[in-house]
Formats: sequence, C-alpha cells, structure tokens
Amino acid sequence: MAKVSVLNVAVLENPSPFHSPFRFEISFECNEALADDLEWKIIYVGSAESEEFDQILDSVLVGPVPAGRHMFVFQADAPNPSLIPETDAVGVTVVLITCTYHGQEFIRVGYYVNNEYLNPELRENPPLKPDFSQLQRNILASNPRVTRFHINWDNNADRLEAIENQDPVLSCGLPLNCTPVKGLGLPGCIPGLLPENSMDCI
Amino acid sequence: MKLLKPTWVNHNGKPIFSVDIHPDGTKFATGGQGQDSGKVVIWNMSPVLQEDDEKDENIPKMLCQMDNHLACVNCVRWSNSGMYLASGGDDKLIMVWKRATYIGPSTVFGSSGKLANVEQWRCVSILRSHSGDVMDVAWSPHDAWLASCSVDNTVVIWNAVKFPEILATLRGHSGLVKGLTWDPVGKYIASQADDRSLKVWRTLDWQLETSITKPFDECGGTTHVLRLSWSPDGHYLVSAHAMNNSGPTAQIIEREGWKTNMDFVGHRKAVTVVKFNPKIFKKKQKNGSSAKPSCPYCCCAVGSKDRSLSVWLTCLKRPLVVIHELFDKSIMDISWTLNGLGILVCSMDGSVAFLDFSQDELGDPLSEEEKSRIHQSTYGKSLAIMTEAQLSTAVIENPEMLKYQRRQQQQQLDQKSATAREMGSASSVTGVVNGESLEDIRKNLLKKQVETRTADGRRRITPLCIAQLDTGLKEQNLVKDLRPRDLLESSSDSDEKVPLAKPSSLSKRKLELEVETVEKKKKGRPRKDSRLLPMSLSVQSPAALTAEKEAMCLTAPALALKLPIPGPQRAFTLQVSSDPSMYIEVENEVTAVGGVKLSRLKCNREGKEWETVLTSRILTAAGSCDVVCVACEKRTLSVFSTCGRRLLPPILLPSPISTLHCTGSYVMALTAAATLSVWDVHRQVVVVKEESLHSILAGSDMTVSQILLTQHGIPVMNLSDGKAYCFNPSLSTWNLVSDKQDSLAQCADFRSSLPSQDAMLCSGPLAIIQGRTSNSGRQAARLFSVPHVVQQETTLAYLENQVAAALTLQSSHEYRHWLLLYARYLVNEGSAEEGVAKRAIASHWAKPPLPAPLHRVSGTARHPEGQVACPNLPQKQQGQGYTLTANDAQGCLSPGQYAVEGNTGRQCAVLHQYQPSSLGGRALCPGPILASEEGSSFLSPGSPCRAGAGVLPFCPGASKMFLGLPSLTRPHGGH
Repeated sequence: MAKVSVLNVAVLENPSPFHSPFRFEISFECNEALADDLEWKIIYVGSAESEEFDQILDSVLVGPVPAGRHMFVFQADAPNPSLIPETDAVGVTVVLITCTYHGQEFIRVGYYVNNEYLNPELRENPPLKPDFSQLQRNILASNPRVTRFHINWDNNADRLEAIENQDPVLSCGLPLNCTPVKGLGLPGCIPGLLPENSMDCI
Repeated sequence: MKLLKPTWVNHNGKPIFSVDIHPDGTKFATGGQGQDSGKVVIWNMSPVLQEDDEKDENIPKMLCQMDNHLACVNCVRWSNSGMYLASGGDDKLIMVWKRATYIGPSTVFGSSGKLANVEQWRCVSILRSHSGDVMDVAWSPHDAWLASCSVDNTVVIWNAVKFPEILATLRGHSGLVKGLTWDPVGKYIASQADDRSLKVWRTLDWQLETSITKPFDECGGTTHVLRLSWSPDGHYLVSAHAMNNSGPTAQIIEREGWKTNMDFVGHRKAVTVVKFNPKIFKKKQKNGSSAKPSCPYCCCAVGSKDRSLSVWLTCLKRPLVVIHELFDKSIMDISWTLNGLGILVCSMDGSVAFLDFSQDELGDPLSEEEKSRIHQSTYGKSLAIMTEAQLSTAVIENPEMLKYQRRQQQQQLDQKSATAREMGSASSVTGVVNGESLEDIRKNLLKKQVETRTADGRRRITPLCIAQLDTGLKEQNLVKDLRPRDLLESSSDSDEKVPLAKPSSLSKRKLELEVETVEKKKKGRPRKDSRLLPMSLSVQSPAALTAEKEAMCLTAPALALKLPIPGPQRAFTLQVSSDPSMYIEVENEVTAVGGVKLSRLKCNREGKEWETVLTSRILTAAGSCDVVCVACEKRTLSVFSTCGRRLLPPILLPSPISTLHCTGSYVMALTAAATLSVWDVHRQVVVVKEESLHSILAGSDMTVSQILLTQHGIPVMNLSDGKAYCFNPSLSTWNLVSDKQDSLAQCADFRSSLPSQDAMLCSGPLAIIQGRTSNSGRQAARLFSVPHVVQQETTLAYLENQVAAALTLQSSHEYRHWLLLYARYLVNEGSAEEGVAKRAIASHWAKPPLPAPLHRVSGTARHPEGQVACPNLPQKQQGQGYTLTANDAQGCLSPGQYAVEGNTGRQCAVLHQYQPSSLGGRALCPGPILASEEGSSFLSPGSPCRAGAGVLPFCPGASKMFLGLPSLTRPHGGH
C-alpha cells in the first residue's frame, strides 16, 4: 500500500501574471518513515499536442519524511515562453505535479491552466506573437485530477510485487489498472467463478 | 425470522468475499474487490437493524473505506476486543487496521468529495510472509495471536501483541489453505485446504495434532473458500466442503478422538462457509412447564455454492431454516452478531443479506458465565475463557447485568464524548504547532521552510511536520495486563450468578461498581443473609461491601477515612496459584456441636489438603506459596503455613479488615480505617507498621483501585486518580511511582530505543502499576512534534523517573530494563545531546552522582563467587563508588541497604541476577558504556579502549549482552 498519500494541494497566489512563479502548498501524510527522499516535480505542458513541449519547471527533494502529516511549499519559476509554441501560449493547458519515490511515480496531480490576456482589447485582438507579460495565468484549483499509482515502497527487491511492476509506471500518465480484477481473471485461478454447472459434487 | 437485503451494502457490483460484524455490534466490515484494487469497507450497523435509521439521511451508512490492498480482499476479521481489523487479500498481505481517533472526517484528495470517511481507520501493520494470496485470517481467543492462511499452502501464526513477529509457520498442507478456525478454549487451531484434508494444530507447540482426510476424499478443489468453524462449547469442529456418498456435506468432527460420524447434509453444491453462533443456547422455558434442565445446544449457519443458507441447531435433526436462492452466486462468508440473534451473509454476487432471529426461534442464550462454566467443566478451570468484550455485550440475564450494560453504555458514551473532545482538542493541536496557528505557519511557510542543497546541487526541502501518527500497537499491552484468571475467586454457591466477576473492568470502575453493589443489595436481591459478591481479585480492593458500610463510606468526610469492608459470605473459594495448583476454600457458619457456629478453612495444595476451624466468620482470605492467612469478623488475622501450621496466635487488627494480601512470606493488611501494615511472618518482623493512607488518599472521592505487594514486601497502592504510591519502609515515606496523568509519561517518546526482543514486555510491579500508561509517546508525538529538544528533555526526565521507581520498588528486572532503555535512548540521541548523555549515564552507574566531571565510567568487579557484578568506578577504590547489592537472607533490597561492593559472601547483586544463567556466570560490567573524552557516548562492544585506572578494557559478558542492541554496538568512533 502507498506509504504516502497527498492530503491537499493548495494553489497559492492564483491567478497571477504569467511570469510569476508557481506556488503550491502540498500537504501529505506518510504512514511509515521513509528511508529516502521524495522527489517532487512541476511539469508545465506547453502544448497539448506533444510531450516534447513539456517543461519540467523544477524538481525538489523532500525529506527526511518521518511518519506523520507534513506540508511544504513548492515554488517553481514560470515556464520559459520561448519553449512554448506560439499557438498554444494563450488558452487552456495543464500543469502537473508529480511525486516519485525511488524513481517511481506514485501520484500525479493535474490542474487545468488558463492563460489569457487581462486587457479586453488584447483579448479581442490577440497579437500574433504572444505578449507573455500581459498574460494572466489562472489555475483551476478547484478541480485537480489526481492519479495514483501502485509502486514498490520497499528497498527489498525480492518483495517486489509482480503486479506492481508489470507496467512501466513512469512513462504512463493514465491510471494503471494493473491489479487483476477478480471476475475478469483467468478461469482456473478463481475457481469460484467457474460456471455453476461445473460442480464437482453432484 | 426476518430477512433483509440492504442494497446499499455493495462494492459497486463487485464481489464481496468476506463480512464480519464488530464485537460491539455497531458496525461491520466487508472485504472484496474494488475498482482497481482490493477494498475493505466499514459500514454502520444501525441502518441494517432499524428501518428508521436507514431512512435517516443524517445517519451515515458507510463509515470508512480502504482501498489500500493492491488486490482483492478475501477476508476481514475484527479482533475480539474490537480494536483492530485484520484483512487479507490476493496481494499476499495482511493489513491490520486501527481507528485513528484524533483525525476528523476527511475526504480523499482529488475525489469528488462526496465519499467522506466518517471514521478514520489506519493501517498500523502490514504483515508480509505469504508468497501467495491470503485466503483467511482469524484472531485467537484473547487476541494473543492472529492466524492467516494462504494459497502458498501454509498457515502463519502472528504475534498479535507485537506485529509483525511470526510465532510459527504451520507447514503440512499440500494444497491451497482456504479456511481457519480457533478452538474457543485456545488449545487448537484448525485449517482446511484444497489438499482434501482438514488439519488440527496444537497451540502449545504448533505441531500437527491430527489430519482428517476421509470425509474429503471425494472432494474436488472448486470452492473459493473453505471457512470452517468450531462450536462455542468446543465440542465440535465443522468443516466446509466435505463429501458423503457423493453428496456435499459439512462434516462434523468431534473433539473427542476427532471422530467424523455426523454431517450436515442437504446442500446441493459444495459448502463454502460454516459459522457457529457465538452463543450456546438452552430451550426456552415455557411458563408453567416444569423447569426441566435441558441440554444446552449450539447453532450453526451453513452457506453453500448452491446459493442457499441453512441454519441448524445441534439439538435438532433437521435444519431450523433453509433459505434457497438467497443470492445470485455462491455464499462467501457469514457473520453472527455477538448476541447470537442476527446473521450477515455475503455473496460473490456483491450483495449482503441480514437475517434476524428471535429468541423464541433459537432459544435462550446462556450467559457468558454459564458458557465459561461449560468450558470449565469440560476443559478445566484454567482454560476458561471470558473476555471483557464478551462481558460487555453479553446478553442481559438479570437486572444487574442490565445495569452493568447501561453503565457500560454510559461509559462508552462518556468515552465517546471524551474522544470527541479529544478530537476537538487534537484538531486544535494540529491547528497549533509550537504556539503558532496553522494559518500563521502557512503564511510564512515558504520563508520558514528549511531548504538545502544536496551534494549534487539539487534543492532539498525539509517538510514541516504538522502531526505525527500513532502507528504503534502498544495499546494491546492493555489486554495483556489482565491478570490471570486463576486469581479469580468464585462463589461456590451454584444458584447465584456472579455477574460482576470482571477483573479487568473492576479497577477502572471502582466507584461505580461499589455503588452498583449497593443498588443490587437494596433492590436486586432481597435476601436474608447479607451474602454479597466475592472479591473479584485478591490484589484489588474488595468489590463486596455491606450496604451500610458503603453508605458510610460514600458519605464519609475526608477526615474520617473509611475503606470498604468485605461482607461475610457463606462460602467462597480462592485460587492462589495454578502452578502449583493451590486453592483455599472457606465455609462460614458450619454448624458444630452445641450450637456453636464455626467457620472452616480448607486449603488444597497440589492435592494435599488440610483444614482447620475458626470461631469467627471469615471475611477474606489470601494466600501465597508460603503462607495462608484469613481475616475474620472479630478483627482477627490468622496466619498459617501452607502445610496448615498456625504460625502466629491471631493478630488483632486495629480496625476491621478491608483488604488482605500475601506475597511470599509477606502479609499485608489494609484496614477499614485506612491503615496499612505489612509483616514478614517468617522472620517475624514488621515491614510497614500501621501506616496511614491519609497522606495519599486526599479527597473524599478517592479510592484505592488496586493493591499490590511486591515480592520484597513493598506495598503499592494504585489510586482512583491514576496515581500509584509505594511505601518505602526505609524512609517511611510514600513515594509516587506512577501517575497516569503525568505529562512526562504522556510526552516521553523512546519507542525508537525499545529493544526488539522485550519491547514493553518487561514484567514486574512497575509494569503492573503502569500497565495502562503504556501509550507514552502518543501525546508527545502530537504536542511536541517540532521542538525535539523539549521532547528529549521530557523523555529523559521520564526515563529517570522510571529508573528511580524501579529501584524503589526493588524490581531488579525492571531496573535493568529501564536503565538499558535509558542508556539506549541516550546513545540514540547522543550525538545531539552529549552533555546530557554523559551526565545521566555516569550518575546512574555511580550512585550518588560524582562531583568530578566524569569522562569514563568503566571497570568491573566480579565477586569471588562470580555473582556480584556491579557498576563501580575508578573512584570506587576510594570507597566512593556504590554498588547495588542485596542481602540475600532477607531477599530484599532497600535503598538503605546498598552496600559497598566487596562485602561478605552473603551479598549478591539483585540488579544482575539474570546474569549467571544467561551469560554463564559472566558479569555485567559497565565497561561498555563509555562517555569518551570527545564527548560522544557510546557503548563499546568490548574493543580495547584507552582508559585510565580501574578500567577493564574487555568484558566478553558485557559485549555479549549488548549484542542484541544494534544501536549500542556502533564502531568505536572516537578512538
């Protein structure tokens, strides 16, 4: 089971100008002291089209983490405008907060971000080349999308749960349905699900 | 019988594999498949029981759900105490859950917010050992063990007091083990597997008792579970899926010789689950009919793959009821309510059914006393089983019981409100860290949080801890602290029920109990003779009082201290010890010749019996391995040897006896006038002479809740306000040795320093007194989460107190335990607090503290006989170092008797008595505890050290001793 669960992420200073740093206040709970640090990342999705425009705004190590509830503020600089496709600068995109332990991502919190001009004139007639200094960033804080992944929390390799490892956890952004769902399992493994007429005892 | 299918109990259509009702009947758990994980859900019971509650939207139906299991949950089981829930699943894990009381309702971050968990259940232990799906788990009676079975063909026995310790792995099955059941008297555990066998294992040595295969020869392994069950009277074990003449049955296996002559027949497909009703029943007595004592019988529910459920009474040849097509798929689990009248059944189709029986249908349930009497008569006294949990929910038998239950409920209410208050305060605790409100902290968090750079230049943030969690299982020690049952006295009068033989709850509820007794006396049983309840525990102050005296006692002003007096009973027995078996029987008013009424005292010691008569009615008796003493109505106290020799002419007590107690050759008498005396009757000396309890019993509402006499003759009083005092005969003072409200005890957190082996299991007078305060560190975690220094200080102070208390109680074992713990704590924290470490270690090994700055504490001395091993110091040669020795002739040790090491051969070190046996005559030497000049303290595992005069550089005994303490055997850093 997950040793760390995120209790809350508060988006600070929202909305804010495009160039001001991101600030998230993250509260999490750990039910067993962690041997190593957690690594948190903020990823700014530059374009919905391709992952190549994703910018890792910052990554921090958080530790030591004893059992208990903890909180910290994760601050990261605004994305580099030059890496954002001009057509995607204005409009809705996504910022992701991920956390990994031993290189395995176990939670991903996604927020929709809306970048728009404050000035109504600019809003009506956006310049061809986006003027980032005039953009306001609004994070849809009320609607986080949380995805959790099962990972191996122990160092001990022989305790690896096969079911935890059969999917490449890191690169996958979708919830992993990696646990076999009973009822869909292979016949034979779950004898109780065999057709009723295959009874042995009549 | 009423049948209900609460549709709201579901796992969103996914199969439910297990169901279990909480012992208090207020909730139940289900386990099964979740969305993409295993799922455990805790549900509210009242909407199942009452339609009004079901309709009331303010009453929550789901209390908590846990998605932590990675794969389907096959079994959920509450501990008998109700404190823990164990769940086992296909992820090969067993999780043990405990309710977190101090965290209020919460939602899961990112979820839609609708499914708030009303109760917070937190996983406190994950048990990993099985290499395959866990199919069933079972708590032993008394919650001492937890058993789990798996498709890896094994059964694992876990130490439920100290998870995740494994006590035994039972190998022998050659197929998937799919069901477990404990013998209700705790002698066996049975498992059923796909290998067509049912195996019974002994709990004594965890070896196979028998393997039963014949009824299973024809079976094929096609059931998901094989949940077998043992009858509450212990006579029968009933298997799941068995075959008889090609028909599916549930095989009945008799405990006597494991005979398999009977079975439950009728199901059309394999039996998946059998569950006995926890109650034993007797025929309902009809008005007017002759009260013929009918044979008690058991009730058993059988669920099958044929989707039907049958309920059987062992006194009937046919089932009481059969319900066909209760579900769409196989029945997976059954759970009875503790009162034996309700039953929850779950199915693979993902639904649950509730059956409600009436007493007319099942019969009159026997009370727990009667049940335990059956156990006693069948299996002997010492095996009788009765837990507090059972008592508290026992079926109401008489007005007393009802009162007790009401009071229990009231108490629970109080507890609840207390918890609620606690929760309130706790949330404010979480809201205030170190004097700052959470809001303030949040405002400045960015500025305040510690950010460093790692070696490779990365940012590293130290998170702010806003609350710590209690993940320990220490509270279980409470359960362990229940004193052995063989101390219980029982009334020999068979027609009188003894509803109040509740040792564990007694001390807690002393006052109420007394009041209750009075009420009972007045209303419950108007009897001629003033026969009252027997004393429940010889170490506790008597629960039995006369109404008059009690009234006086209750109204008595503080200046006239009156302790309760036991009322005379016609007869009673008192078991002194079970090994060797020794008990005392008292019979008052045996009519003798000439109309003179005599009282008879009988003592039976391992079959050898003696008896004598006394002229006055015996009020109370006590015994030890050395003496038997009785206190009579005429204020006399008579002392006999265990062979029946009168050791003294009757002692005249200054006032009537309240409590009498014996340990070894020490006799302690507490009189109604609150004076305490302790005599050593063998050596004929007074240890404590008519000492008044006035100084400690300040305030009229205080009572003595527990009395203890240590083997060194030191009396210890536990008071109702949670404080405990021992009388120090040398100083003639009452010393405070324990205080439940002591904030130090609450704040100290030394869990990290607990040794792995004997963690919190150190037994002795101190442990008995402080049993209830073992939650140390919990509050600390909450209050002092940030200022570590404060916690360190409180912990140090607490450990100092403990060491001193153990010393005063002359409890060598505990002294060692706490001193080692202290040392370990100092070493663990040592790097930060060098000065403190040095001071404390040094002064403890050298009492009194030495004036000169001490850099080395070292050296050892072995007594000529290899017995004495004491901390002594270089200074000792000048006669300044003291060792802790005891005069063995007295067998006791008091502060005044510290002797300088090297006295006569009659001295032996109590402190280190354990050494000759465990270490082959090696002596404990303080050598390995060093405070080096560099300041860091550590224990050397025997490596040579630079040292001055008097230092013994190598002590193999010591190094061996400390081997179990990894933290202490660090490499020699400073040298």
